[in-house]
Amino acid sequence: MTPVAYKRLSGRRRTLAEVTSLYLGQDHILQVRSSRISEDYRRFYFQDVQSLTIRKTAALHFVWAGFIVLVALLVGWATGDVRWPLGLLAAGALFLWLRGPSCDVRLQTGVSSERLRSLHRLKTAQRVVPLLRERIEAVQGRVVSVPDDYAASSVGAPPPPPLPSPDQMTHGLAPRRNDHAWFFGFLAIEAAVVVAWLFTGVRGLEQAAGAAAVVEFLAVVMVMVRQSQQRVPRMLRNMIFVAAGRWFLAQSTGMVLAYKAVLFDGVKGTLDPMTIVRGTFSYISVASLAAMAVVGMWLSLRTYPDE
Amino acid sequence: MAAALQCGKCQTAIPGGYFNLDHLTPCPKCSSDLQVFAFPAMFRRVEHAGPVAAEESDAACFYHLDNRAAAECASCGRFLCTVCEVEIGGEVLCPGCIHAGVTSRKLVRLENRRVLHDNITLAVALVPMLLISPTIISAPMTIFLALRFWKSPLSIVKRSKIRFVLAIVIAMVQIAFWAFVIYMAFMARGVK
Repeated sequence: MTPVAYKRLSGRRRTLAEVTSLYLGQDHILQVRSSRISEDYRRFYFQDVQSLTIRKTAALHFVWAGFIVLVALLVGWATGDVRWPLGLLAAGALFLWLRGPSCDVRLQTGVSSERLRSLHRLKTAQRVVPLLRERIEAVQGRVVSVPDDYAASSVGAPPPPPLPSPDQMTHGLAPRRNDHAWFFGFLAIEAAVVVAWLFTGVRGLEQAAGAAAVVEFLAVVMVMVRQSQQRVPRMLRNMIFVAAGRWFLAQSTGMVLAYKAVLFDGVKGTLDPMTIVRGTFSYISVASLAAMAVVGMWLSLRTYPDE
Repeated sequence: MAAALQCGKCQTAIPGGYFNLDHLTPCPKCSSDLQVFAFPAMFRRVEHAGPVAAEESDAACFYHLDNRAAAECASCGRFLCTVCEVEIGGEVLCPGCIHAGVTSRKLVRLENRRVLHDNITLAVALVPMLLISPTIISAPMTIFLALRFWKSPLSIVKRSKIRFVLAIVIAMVQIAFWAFVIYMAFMARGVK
């Protein structure tokens, strides 16, 4: 018997218990689940595959997000400085953003429906599934039209609409205004705290502003997750992404400036260039925060005036 | 009638209009973004073709003498009816050869599990290092395992023997370490 040559497909899912990956054979797809001690194989022959379904699940990986927050809290506790955990959270947010939304890919045959675990990222799935589709269609041919006896088509469901345009947000679950309104309301309070600290220099307000920045991070992640499961107007949706980007920029710039300030420590007490830069940055940061709170609140109220 | 595809979240039947679109589309019930690729196998009707009874002049199946032979086993050459013939990788095989192929692990296409001896050997070399002293036993054991399973089949997908090599190198270093420790102990006793 000749050995079977396999080509590894993109995507791999690692957990503590197992590693799952997908391979392309001559006439089948091979799913390998390795426990590090042994490997289990599952084959799906091209001629038997009935369908491949991609379903977008969450905007980010909760386990990773939880892990990053936990590490940031530990670092904050160990160093006693709020800048390090904020920097870590910023790096973590960037990492999660780069990984993109997750998804669930299912392969159905006449006798089973199996989840392809290695394709758990939407970007990867949308790259690999068309490749599989090409191979399967080379064996089976294409579906030209759905037969009349297909169970779902006999229900008389209308054809689906294309991707929702910015103003098409009425189908699906009703969006929750509260998420966005609460979030932008919180931004307004945070801006007020930061402004009060900048003008009074009270130590307690500085600590409150630091804590608010951490809460803002958690809130923006929560709202991003919730809006990924609902139909939200594009403007409002993008506002959350802009808020996340603003948070990331503010925290990373703040960290760089704080680091620079250490280098300029020799001129402490005088009006050195770094003090001016830091002061200017603080005002720009709080101004952007306040502007975002006002615009976001206005958008939330404009979108759902009845609630 | 073809069974309806269901949304993975709300189990609602996905309408035919959703199939083979080039973008994600919201589920009609739960609004989850879906992209569905359907293939002809979904709408294929399964036809049950039973074996044809053998007449006197016909060649009969090796396993079912009443059935007319429809194919020949690519491995042993026995005649097979439609019940017995199994096509694997473009070859028709009989149940006997399939059984022999699975037990002797020559039919890679039917294997559904393999033990990763290289990973185990590497673990035997590395894990005892945490406690140091067990390596006096695990180091020779590692070399034994590496040599014992060197030729055994690894994964059915491409996989090198680098873990075996690494395990052997680590075990050799451990053995050298223990040899040095024992030598030093003897030397110390000799000085006394």
